[in-house]
Amino acid sequence: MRPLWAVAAAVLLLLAAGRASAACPVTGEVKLGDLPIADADIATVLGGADPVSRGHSGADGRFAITVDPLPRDMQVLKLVVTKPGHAPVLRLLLKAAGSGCPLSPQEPVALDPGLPPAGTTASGGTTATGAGDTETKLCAKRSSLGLTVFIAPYRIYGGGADQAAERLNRDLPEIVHHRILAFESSLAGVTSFPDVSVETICLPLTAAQGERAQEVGHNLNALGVIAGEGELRDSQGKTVIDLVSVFRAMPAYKSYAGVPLSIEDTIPSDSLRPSRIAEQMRDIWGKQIVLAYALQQLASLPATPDQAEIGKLTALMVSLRKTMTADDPLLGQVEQVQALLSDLKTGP
Amino acid sequence: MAKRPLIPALLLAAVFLAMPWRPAPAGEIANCFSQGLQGSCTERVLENVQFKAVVLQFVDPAKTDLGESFSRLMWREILDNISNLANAGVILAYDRQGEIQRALGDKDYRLFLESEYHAAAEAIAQQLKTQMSVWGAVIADGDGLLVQPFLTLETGQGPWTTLTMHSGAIHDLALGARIAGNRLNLQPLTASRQHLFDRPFVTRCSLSAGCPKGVPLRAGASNDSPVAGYVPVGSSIQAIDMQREWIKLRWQTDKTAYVNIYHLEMFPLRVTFSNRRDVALRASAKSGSSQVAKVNLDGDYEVLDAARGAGAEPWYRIRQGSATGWVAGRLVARRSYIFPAVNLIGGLFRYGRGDYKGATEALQAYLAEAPEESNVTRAAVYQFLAASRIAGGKSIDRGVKAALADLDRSAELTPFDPAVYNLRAVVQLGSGHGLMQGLKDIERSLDLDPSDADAQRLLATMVDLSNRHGLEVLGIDQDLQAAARYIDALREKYLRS
Repeated sequence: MRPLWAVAAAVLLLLAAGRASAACPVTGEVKLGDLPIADADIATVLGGADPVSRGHSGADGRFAITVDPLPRDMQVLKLVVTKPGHAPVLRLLLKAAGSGCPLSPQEPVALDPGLPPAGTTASGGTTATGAGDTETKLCAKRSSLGLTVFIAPYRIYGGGADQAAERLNRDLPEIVHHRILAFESSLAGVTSFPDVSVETICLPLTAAQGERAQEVGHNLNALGVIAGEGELRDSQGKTVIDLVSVFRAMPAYKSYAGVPLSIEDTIPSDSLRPSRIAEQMRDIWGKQIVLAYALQQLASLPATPDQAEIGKLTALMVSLRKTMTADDPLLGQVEQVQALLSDLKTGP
Repeated sequence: MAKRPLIPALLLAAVFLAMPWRPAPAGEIANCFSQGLQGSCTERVLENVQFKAVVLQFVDPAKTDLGESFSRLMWREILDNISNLANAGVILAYDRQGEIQRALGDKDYRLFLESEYHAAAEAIAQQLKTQMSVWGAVIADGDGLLVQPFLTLETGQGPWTTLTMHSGAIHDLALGARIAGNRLNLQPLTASRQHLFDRPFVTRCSLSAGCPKGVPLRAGASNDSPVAGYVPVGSSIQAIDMQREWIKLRWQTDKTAYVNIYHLEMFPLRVTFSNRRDVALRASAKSGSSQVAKVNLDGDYEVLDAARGAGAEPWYRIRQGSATGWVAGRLVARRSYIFPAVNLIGGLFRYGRGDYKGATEALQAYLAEAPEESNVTRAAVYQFLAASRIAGGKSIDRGVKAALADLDRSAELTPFDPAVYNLRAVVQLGSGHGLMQGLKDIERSLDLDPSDADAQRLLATMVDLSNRHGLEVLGIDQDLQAAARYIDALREKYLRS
C-alpha cells in the first residue's frame, strides 16, 4: 500500500503545484480621457456566473488581479469595469493559446465621461457606450436588433494607394452584404434567416486592434466587425499589396465567443478590388454571420429553453456544416456550437 | 452465408421524364412582371414545354443599367448551348417599366430577389412552372463590375433531382435519394464593363420582311431612333457596351451605333478540341473553301470570329501556331461561354430531358472550366454527373464504378453533407455489390444528421427488406447475416417510430 499512498501524494502535490503556477495575472489601466481613474471596481465574469475575481484600480489608474486559467471549453473571460457616475465598460479577454490564461487588455479601459442612461447596464448588453464611441464619432447608428455587420475603413499604406483604398471602401459593403445574403439563402433546409445589414464606420481599425474592434462592436451592438489593412510593396518589379482582413463575431454565449478569423492575401496592386477581397474570403463572411447569429440566439435563450428553438438552431448548424470541407477554418467553431446545443438538449 | 447469382435486371435508373418527345420553341420572352407575378402572361409562357428554365433580370443595386443586359446575354448563351435539345425552353423574365410589383407582398420582384435571394427565385420558378431559375446580381467593383450568377433548382417540378433505383427482382423495391444543392451560388465574373462585351457577335437578319439593305444600325438604343446605317448579314461587329436589348458597337472606325441583339448571333468565347489530327483550317466558313493549313488541335482556342455555315452549323475562326482559319463546329468537344455556368445549366437541361450522355459531357466540361467554383457547387455537379452515368450507363458495372468515383469526389468536397452518402448508398445498394458499404453510408448520413429524411427512408426500406428476408436481392456474395445484424443495430439507434 505504501507505494500507492506515495503516488497519490505526489499526484496531489503536482496538482497543487500546477494550480499555483497556473494562476493568471490580469493587468490594465482605467482612464477617463487622459486622466487615470482611481478606485474603479474591476471584476471578471466567467460565462453567466457571478464575478470570479475582484479588484480596484490604484491612484495611477492601474489594476492587477489574479484569475484562474480558463476551462478547456471556454474561450473568453469578461472584464467589467465600473465606477459610480459612469457607464460600466465591458471588455472580453481572449484566452491565450498555450497557457489558457486570459490576455490582459493592451489599451487602457476608457470610461465614458457622463452618467449612464437610466435603466441600462453593461451585462445586459444594451448600451455601455464606453471609450467615447459615440455614434457621431463612429459615423454609425447603434444596431437596434444586433443584426448589423460594421466595416471599418480599410487602410492601405504606401504611396499612391489612396485611390485604391477609396474604391475599395466605397464598394466593399455592398459586396459583403451580397455575399452574406447569398450564402445565407443558399443553406438548404433552413427557412428563415436573419435580416442582416452591413454598415460602415468611419473609425479605422487595424487588423491587430482586436480589443478596440470588440469594444466598438459591443458599443454598436454589432453582429460582427470587419477590419482590414494593406501595405504596398515591390515584388520582383511589380507592386503588390499584402492585405489582411479580420472578421470578429460579437455575440458570446456563456464563456464561448467566436474566434476572430484573419485572412491574409497578397495581390497585385492593380487587382485591388472589393471582389478580390470577397473572392479570397469566399463564403467565410456568410458562414461567420450564421455562426454569430447562432451564438446570439443561444445567448438569448431563457434558462429553460424551448426544445423547438434548440432544434431550429441545431438544424441551422447542420445546414452550415454541410457546406464545409474538412479543412474549413470555421469547422471547429461550428462543432463547438453544436456541442453547446447538444448540452442544452440533454441538460436538466 | 447465402450466395446468390447475379441478380438479373437489377438496375433501372428512373430519373424523370419518360414523356413523349415533342419539339418546342427554344426560348421566349415574357415581360411577366409588368402586371405582377400573378399576371396572365406567366401562365402562357412555354406552357407546353416540359423542361424549362427562367432567366430573371439580374438585380442591379449599383444602377449600372446592365441588369437586363446580363440576363439577356445569359439567356442567349443558354439557348445556344441547348439549341439541339428538344422540348426544352428558356424564358427571359424582365421588368421594363420598373413598376412596383405587388404580387409578392409589396415588394418589387427585384427587391424581392435582393432581399430573399434563392427563396425568391424558387417562388418565381413555381409561378412559372420551371425546373430552374437562373438569376444574378451586377455589383460595382472598383472600376469594374462583379457579376454574380445564381442557379436555383426547383424540386417541386417533378422528381428530377432525385435518383431512384428500382429492383427487377422485387417489384416494389425502390431506393431513392435527392441530389444535394438546389441553391447554387456560382462563380462570380469580375471584369471591366467593356471587357464583358469583348466577344464574337455576328449579324443576322431577324426581320420578317428580310434585310435587303443589311441589318439596320440605330443612332440610339431604341427602335424609334434614326437608322444610322446598315451592315451586311454575317458581319462581325465590335461590341463595346449594352443597354437592355441594344448592343452598342464601334462602327466605321470612329463612330458608335446600336443594334438590337435579335440581329446578332452569339458564339462561345473559346472552343476546346480533344486531340483532333490533321484538321483543315479553311479560308472561310464552308467545307468547300480553300485550305489554309492542316493542323493538330488539342486544348483551348480563343474564338476570333464565328459564322453559320451550311445547315446552320457554327464555324469558328481560330489561330493555331502562325495559321489562322475556320474550323467546323462539329469538331469541337466543348464550348466555353462568358458564364461558365452555361455548361452546367446545359448539362442539367440534358439530364432533365434524358440525354444522359450529353449531360455527362456538359457537366464534365463545366467541372473542367470552373476549377475555382465553390466546393458546394462542385459537389452537387459531381452528384448530377454520377446520376447521369447511372441513368445513361449501358454497362452497369462501368457506369456504377464511374458514378461511385464521382460520389467519392463529391464526399471529399462536402464531407458533412448527408446527401452525398445517401446517394452513394443508393448506388451501392442498387448495384448489388456494396451491401455493407451502402449500410455504412446510411449510418454516416444519420450520424451527421439523425433527422435526414432520405437516410431515414433508406434505412426504413432496408429494415423492411431485412424483415422480409429479401436482402439477397441487394447482396451478391456478401454476408447477409452480418448485414441483417447491422441493419438491426441501425434501426435501434436511428429509426423513428
